[in-house]
Amino acid sequence: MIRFYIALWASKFAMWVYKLRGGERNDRPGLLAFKICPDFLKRISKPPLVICITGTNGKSTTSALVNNKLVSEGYKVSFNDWGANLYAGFALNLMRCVTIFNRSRYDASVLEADERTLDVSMGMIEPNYILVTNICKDSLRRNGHPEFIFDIVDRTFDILGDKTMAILNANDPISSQLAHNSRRVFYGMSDIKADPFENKVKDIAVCPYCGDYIRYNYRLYRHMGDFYCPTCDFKTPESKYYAKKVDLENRQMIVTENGQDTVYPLISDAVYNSYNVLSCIALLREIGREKEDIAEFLKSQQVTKIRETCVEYKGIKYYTYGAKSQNISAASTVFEYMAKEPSDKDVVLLLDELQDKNHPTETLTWLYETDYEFLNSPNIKKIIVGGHMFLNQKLRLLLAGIPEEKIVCVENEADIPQHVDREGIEKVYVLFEIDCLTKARNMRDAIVRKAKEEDTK
Amino acid sequence: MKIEVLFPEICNLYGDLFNIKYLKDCLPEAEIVNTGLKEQPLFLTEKPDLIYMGTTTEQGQIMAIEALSKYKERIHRCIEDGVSFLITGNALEVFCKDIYEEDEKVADGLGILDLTARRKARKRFNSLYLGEFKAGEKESPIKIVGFKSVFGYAYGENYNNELFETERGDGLNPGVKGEGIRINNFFATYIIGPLLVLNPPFTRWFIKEALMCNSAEIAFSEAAENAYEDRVKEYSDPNTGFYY
Repeated sequence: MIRFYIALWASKFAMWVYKLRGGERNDRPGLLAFKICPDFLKRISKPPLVICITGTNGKSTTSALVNNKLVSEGYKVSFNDWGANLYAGFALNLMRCVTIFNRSRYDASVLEADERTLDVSMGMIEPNYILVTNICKDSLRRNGHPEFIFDIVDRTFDILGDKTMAILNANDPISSQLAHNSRRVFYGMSDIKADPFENKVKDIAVCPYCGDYIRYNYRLYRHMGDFYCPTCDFKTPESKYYAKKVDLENRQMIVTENGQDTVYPLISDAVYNSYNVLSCIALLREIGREKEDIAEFLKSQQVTKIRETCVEYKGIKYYTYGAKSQNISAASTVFEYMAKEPSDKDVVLLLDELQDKNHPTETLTWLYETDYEFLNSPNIKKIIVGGHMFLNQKLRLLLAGIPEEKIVCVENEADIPQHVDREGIEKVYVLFEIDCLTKARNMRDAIVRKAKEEDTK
Repeated sequence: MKIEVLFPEICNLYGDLFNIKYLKDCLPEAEIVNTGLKEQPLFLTEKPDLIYMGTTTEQGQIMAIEALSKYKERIHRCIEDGVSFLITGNALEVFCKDIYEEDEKVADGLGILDLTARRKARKRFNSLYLGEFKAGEKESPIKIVGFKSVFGYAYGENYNNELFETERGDGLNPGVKGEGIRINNFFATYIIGPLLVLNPPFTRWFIKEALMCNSAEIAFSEAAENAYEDRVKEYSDPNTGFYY
């Protein structure tokens, strides 16, 4: 216990120093706590409500929505919205919630959590709820393969047992198999005629119980859908929260719960964001929020600016759009969106992970698992790639069947703006690795600036 | 030309199937035969020009072993008869004698290779790979670049059939310089991903010598060569980080 208090006081002092220097989001104080006291996360007092949101994709958007709702109600919430979703970030998050005497002074903690270390971290934190958005193919270096991640998340629920309620995606053949021995509820979606593209490589193709091919009554995106095994009883579980109608154009969906329908607003026109809203609704309902309150709250919500921004100049919309390089499923889903979003567009790829500059190879394997073929679409007029992987990107785009005349690959990213068109396009999308938001905005602004300079000549 | 791909529904991680896609681009006349887990392999009734199997999950390894175990003798005979195999990533372990996790045996392998695969308890070893392929006594060695991501390594007392000689990164296990196995035209390597796309000189040799096709030129050769040369330079640079 003495060790714990030393850790708490030392890390709180460090947090105070960082705050004075304007670095209040630096998670080093959390790391310090963890180093001094390895079971810090277990010993620290928790707020009355602790919610963990994990999964390959959608956890940032979903946890932001949940946090926003609680804050809008006047709750004092600690939320690791700066992306520190490992031990140090959790320690910092929870440390903020307690006094120097380890007494809880917050109402809730929302923990966006990386799946890779979930068993150890959540085994200590023991959250009230764990929402799993999905399990898909992710970064090789960080996450290996979906089966590896499934085992970690499933082990987490085994450790927690009945202490934690699982909120799961019924349409995901992988994550819906979690938490067999825990309390769990499912959310799911009807056939919304999403007409998803076929991924080159599926995240899961065969039944985990008998090995037969998984089949679908309908798919929504990637491997999400109404699935079943023709040989055994592996199938989509029944959803307590069921989106029976999703109107992406008008951005609303009808969710059936215990036979009653409620209309909820959506935050975007993308299928995957509808899932994020649906999972958020399921969680908020489980913690006792009224349907009408949730619907009213969602009216004010939009996709976080970290993921998407837009400026317009002379009739062309210039976007920054988060795509997560190395996360195969996220990048493929964004590429699919680029093809389906009907505008004629140029697409700029800024997908090098800065921290991997010295480790280029992983980015090669993800290139060949990601569906670059989706970018071979008539409404995508040009694909402009910059960065140290430009030669590899060019080869991959060619292998995807994209005509060479549509491809521009330059090592120096500063050269990108001169290749962006202004004729024959309605939009320009700068797809960026989400850790590089500022870089993406700077690139987008440089493209707009170039257009303005041309007009002043 | 027929290329049989074993279990593409599960042996498909890390872009490995691009080895086949690339061969198809290089050899448009080639017929690709995908054999599912529950199907009878083509090699039982014919001798394909190439049999390919790629990286899979640990559960996938067990499923592949179960599916192939009744054809062990046939596989042996195909190798002896010079049928070409290309086995990448942890599919190599399917052909080992057995697979252990720490000290516990998790599966009998096919026993084609006199090797034992040993995993650490779910610990992954990630690294770049730089090595050489020696095509023959009189020919210049070909640089090989790639990536390895494994939960363990393969060990064997009588191991002397390496496919590649390692310059940087691990061999078949950290104690040896040799990487992979070559027996006649059976090529197996722990290197994951699109090995043939990333290594156009090796691909050129492979198509000519292993697939015995003299006329083919590799697809997108200029883009592939440019990327390869840049990669060899980068991996040969001592300042390039090699292990994750």
